[in-house]
Order: sequence, then structure tokens, then C-alpha cells
Amino acid sequence: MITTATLEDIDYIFKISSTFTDYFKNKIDIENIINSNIDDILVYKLNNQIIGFVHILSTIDSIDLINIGVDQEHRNKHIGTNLLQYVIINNAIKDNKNIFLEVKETNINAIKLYENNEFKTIYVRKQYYKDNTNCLVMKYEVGDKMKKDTIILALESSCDETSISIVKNGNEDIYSVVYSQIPIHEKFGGVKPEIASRNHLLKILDVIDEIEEKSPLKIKDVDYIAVTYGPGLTGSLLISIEAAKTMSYILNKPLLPVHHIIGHIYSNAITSTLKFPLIALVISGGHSDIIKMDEHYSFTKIGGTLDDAVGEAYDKVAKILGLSYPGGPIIDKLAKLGNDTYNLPIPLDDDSSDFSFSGIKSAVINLVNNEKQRGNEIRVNDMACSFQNRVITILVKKTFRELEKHNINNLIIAGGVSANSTLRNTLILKSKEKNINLILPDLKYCTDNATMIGAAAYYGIGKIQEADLTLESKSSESYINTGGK
Amino acid sequence: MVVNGPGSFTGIRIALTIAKILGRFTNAKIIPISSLKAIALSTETSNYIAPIIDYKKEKMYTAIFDKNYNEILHEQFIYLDEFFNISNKLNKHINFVSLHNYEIDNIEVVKIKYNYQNIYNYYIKNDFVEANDIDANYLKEV
Repeated sequence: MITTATLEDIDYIFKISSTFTDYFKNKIDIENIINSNIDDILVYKLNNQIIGFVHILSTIDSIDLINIGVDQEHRNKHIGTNLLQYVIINNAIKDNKNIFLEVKETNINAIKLYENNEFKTIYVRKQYYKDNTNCLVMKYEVGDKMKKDTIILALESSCDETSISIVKNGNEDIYSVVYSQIPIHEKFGGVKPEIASRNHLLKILDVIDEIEEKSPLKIKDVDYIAVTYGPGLTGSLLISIEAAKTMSYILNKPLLPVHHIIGHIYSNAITSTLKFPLIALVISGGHSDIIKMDEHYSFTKIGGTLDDAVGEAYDKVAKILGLSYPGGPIIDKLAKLGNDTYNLPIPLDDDSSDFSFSGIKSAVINLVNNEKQRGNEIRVNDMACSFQNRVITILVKKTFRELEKHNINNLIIAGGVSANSTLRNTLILKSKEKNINLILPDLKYCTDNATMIGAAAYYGIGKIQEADLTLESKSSESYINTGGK
Repeated sequence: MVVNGPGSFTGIRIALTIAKILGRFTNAKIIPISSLKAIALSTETSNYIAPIIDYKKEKMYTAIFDKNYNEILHEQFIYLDEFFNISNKLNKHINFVSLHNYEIDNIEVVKIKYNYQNIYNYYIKNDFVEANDIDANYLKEV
């Protein structure tokens, strides 16, 4: 990923850069640049190793690109392009400044790199260098580039939905297809991994054909291909991953691997603009996290579940009550028809920022068994209402406590459970009361979908490590503070 | 040409996904191949051939082919003893072959390598299949 160099990086930049350039004479050179307000060094890190850098100088109306270097071993891997594109997107286009640079006429490789990234020679300084070679002055013209669109084709098949989407600029859902297998898995009371994988294979070409036929923008028009690489069911993930890799290879498009949960978080960015710092409440069948984001792709975990995830608890309680899978929507529906009459504890109602949903699940089991032994009928609607109220109480209470503790007033929610209507209504009321800027993902983006993967990929450009054909599924990788991948 | 099974489910799906996308986005024509027949095609014998894939807990994927690679016993996932019940009635000598080393009581399993030339020569005469029409041949329900 690409970051702005800090003083801690000096030793490293000097050590590494000296293996492929003599541009920095000593460490003081680097320190001066980093401390300066107008100079910046951006570094490209791979597995925490610096393998490339770009030195830029921002003036009031333009950007000078002073130098760019890539480690010998990592050339021809688009590292230079990534660094240039990062400067173009985050410095030039954002601040509406043109970029200027000087390059030796004999440095063919560098000139090619600049030309491929839309730099044009504006004049030649004759015999400018000591060895009498000419100097090309090149310019990147922002012009109407501010309107340049980034089109991403995204694929997602991490669980039981086969989905594909074409997304413009991270927030425009040009066309998307979601084929859901829920009816297939319903009768098993959960997702059967092998059946899910088989159905993804059966459907993958259908969803691709539908988007190619119906989308106003075609697959050949896209700038990137994005795919969920994990977490999820390995066999399911692999269908989209192999399809995306093959398309990326045939169509010669860069491939962006996206973390599924980061996708859920960015489902909020499809319909609204994220404002930082923010707190994200990530609630799904596998996660119950309170996350702090200081900027795009920065994920700091504040709290999480000690045992079951909240979606998991919904599914298990639904099963105990003899309800269908998935448990969330049905419990939410029945809860509205019932009353909060059962005596259930508020789960992990303490000073910590963590959750625990295993206890309340056991409490429901015990209550159901006791009532049965006494020959009493279970009032399913009342049980759904009581259970849901306790869960939502603690989710809202701890989330708002963290907002206050960190003095943050932006809140987003993400994951399948964010579709829960009672939770949404509770959050809307509480946010109004506490003056919190709340973003809720559109209901159609709460469940698994490829559009959110396209949105996450867009904001991850320059931060996500581009993948090649060796990309594999990661069934249980964390997204916390990883900066993507 | 792409093997569509039987064998590792995930392996089959990886190969078929790649083949489907290649078929859709390039001019590549697709011919599905049976992993069992591919083993038979790589075996030189005038006897019947029984390829073995994924022998585990007395069960395996197998079939019986004659020397012209016609299916005498169709491809299936079967218990070894049930297989013998059927194969003994054929009253023919059967060569057991596999890509892996298998120690199985009462039979000798010869380890072979794919003969890609033979496989190609045989299958190139088959009809091409549309990308949406290649299906996995799992031979096992879930």
C-alpha cells in the first residue's frame, strides 16, 4: 500500500532507496523533505518493506514530481504506475493541480511510464544535463480529468449469493445482479458449503451474461476488476476469484482483492459520503465489531464479540423457536407482533466495549425448555420481541458510549444485521437525540452484494495491493488495521 | 480441454470456472474430459482398464473401459467389494491404474502418468461444448 513517509521511515527509506538510487545523499536529505510542509515522500510498502517511493513538491498551483524510484526486483509490476496514479488521484485531481516533471531524454523506461499515465512532453531543454543529454519537461494536465470516471467490475460469492456489479466512481451502481441461494439452503436451516459452491459454478456465467447484456456500461469499459478474496466459504469464494483472475488476465485489467467486511463497511459509501473520524458498528453472522476509522481504509478495533456473533445468535434463537433460516428477518418481523414479556438478561451489560451473545442464546434455550417442562406454550412472538430488545439495547448502548468516549459524531453500520428494522429505527432516534451524523446502508446493500465490493475497491485504489493470478481465498483473514490487503 | 470430474470437488470447480470464462471471453472452444477416461487413455494394455481416483475408506471413483476405451462399467463412486461383485461377473482380466500409489488388498494398482498426446488425440474428435453447458461431473450428491 501507499502511505506518506514519516520520520520513523527515514532509516528504512535511506537503506532501501540506496539499493536502487543515489538520489538521497544522506538521511538528513530525507528528514528535511519529511519535515517540510511543501515536500512529500510517498512510499509503496509490500509486506511492510519499502519497495518504491515518489518525491513530490506541491506549490500553490502545481505539483512538481521530483523523483520516483522502484526497487530493482519489483520492476514491471505496475509499482511505478500505482505511485503515479496515487499522486494523480490524491494530489493532482483532488487539488486541481497539474503535475510537472523533468526527465532525461535517454531514460526510455521512465518516459514510457509517464506517457502511459497521460504525461505529455511540453518542451525540450537542449543539452541540459552534464553529459549533454536533453531534458524533457513533461506535464500531466488535470483539465477535465476531475470528471474522469473510474469503472469497476466487482464479483462476490463468499457465501450463498452469486453477485456481479459494475460500479462507477465508487458510488454509482450502474448495473448489478444478485442470484440468491437462500431458497436452496432454507430447508437445511443454514448454508451447506458444498451445495453453495456447486450453485455458484452453475450461476457464474449467467450473472456475467446478464450484466453484459443489460448494463449500459460493458465489461470491456471497466478500469479494474474487484473480487472478494475472503473471509467466507473457501469453495464459494474460489468461483468468483477464479472468474475474476481469468477475466483480469484475458481483458488485461488490474485485479483488486477486497475484504468482504470492508465491502460491507463501504456499502454505506454507495449512497452517502463517509465523514471521518467515524465509528462503524459491524454486525453480521460472523462479526460484532465496533471499529474506529480515522480515514479511508484505516480500521481500528475498539470492541468485538467474545463468543457468538450477533447474526449467529439470531440464527440459533430462530432455530430454537422453530423458525426459518436466516433468523434475523423472521425474528425482526415476529418481534413487532409480540410484547417484551420474557425475563431475559441484557448480554454483557458492563463497562467494556465488547459483546457476548452466547449467554442470551442459552437463556432462551433454558426458558424454552422450562416452559415446555411445565407444559406451557412458548409465545414465539413475545420471545422474539424480548430477545431482540435485549440485543439491540446492548448494541446501541455500547456503540453510543464509544462515540462519546472518542468524541466522534459520525456513525455507520454494516453487515447483514444492519437490515434489522428495529435496530435502524432505534439508531435513528438515538442519533437525533445525541446529534450524531448517522449513515445507514440502503437495505438492498445490507445483504451480500457485489456493488459494495466495487465501492470498497474504488476507495482502496492505491491502498489495496493489486493481485495477480496467484490470488487465493482467505477464509478467515482479519480486516483490522490491515489497510485492506 | 478441461477435466470436469470426477475427483476433488474444489479442483473440478476451479478448472471449470477458468474454462467457462475463457470460453466466454475468447474464441476458445471447450471439450470436457473425464478424469477416469484420461487415465485409461494413458494406459497401454489389451485388458480391461479400471482407473481409480480418490480411494478412501473402501470407496473410490472408478469405471471399466475396454481396450478401445468404451465404457463397460459406467463411471461411478462405489465400494470396492461392490465393484468386485460386478467385475467378477465380467470374467475378464482387469488392470487397475491410478495417478497415485494405492495399497489395496488383493489387487495390484499400477501408478501411471497422464499421456497428454493420447488424451488429446482421442478427445479432439469429440464435439465442442458451449461455455454455459459444461457441467461438473461430481458423481456424488450432497
